[in-house]
Amino acid sequence: MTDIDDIHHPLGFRDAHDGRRDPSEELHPRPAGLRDAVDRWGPDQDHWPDPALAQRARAALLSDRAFRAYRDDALVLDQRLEVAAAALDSRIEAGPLARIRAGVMAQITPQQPVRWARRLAAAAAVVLVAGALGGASSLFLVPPEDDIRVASTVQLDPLLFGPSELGF
Amino acid sequence: MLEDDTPSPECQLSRIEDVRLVHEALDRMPDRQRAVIVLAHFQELGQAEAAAILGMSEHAYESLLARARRRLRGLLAGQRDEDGEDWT
Repeated sequence: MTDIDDIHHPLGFRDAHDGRRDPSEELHPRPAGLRDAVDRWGPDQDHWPDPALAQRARAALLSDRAFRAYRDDALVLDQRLEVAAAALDSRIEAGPLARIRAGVMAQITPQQPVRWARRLAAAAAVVLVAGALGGASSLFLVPPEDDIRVASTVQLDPLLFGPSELGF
Repeated sequence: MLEDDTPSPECQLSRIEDVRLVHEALDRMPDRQRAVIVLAHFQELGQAEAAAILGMSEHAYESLLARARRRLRGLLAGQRDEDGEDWT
């Protein structure tokens, strides 16, 4: 613990001038020292809410090797946590996507190319079979007697029978 | 000439191992301290949001976060001593 760390006593918030406790500081306790400030607010002094303390930390970084090492340790911890968070994010993103992709690919059957020659041959075979069936049915299936209708047509010569005979 | 930005296999392996160590250290922390680290560093929540989630004042959250960071650093330093590796 260096002198710089004792700037703010951990248990008391005494005014530097008259030694009285500032009640507003009890509601908003300040860090117990620069190291505590690093732990509370992170290693980057630019983001500290207390500019005076941040300024003191910058000075300490130049003059106090132990504080600099402490701050560097905090920086390394932040970086390691950042890497761990990024790894977790990528695992979360990659996991479901890979599962969805595999599921979709399993359901998709590869599309067959259209083979026109095979289709034409199939159509020709259908026509041939239909023709053969039609022919066979006309040969073997005899229609019933009632259904046979014989029609006879008589053509009269108008020169022989005259126009009055045409009407019958 | 294009440079390859892909990290080397050794670097990737080292990173994976480091992530594993961080997760192990987090597993060994008390629940509230782990929660505060996760909210601050993994969820990247602001102080007010994280404090509200944990049901505490922002200043209590700050103190808890400071304690959690100190403990995590200690745990990781212990792992480093066990593994004989230098992470700095």
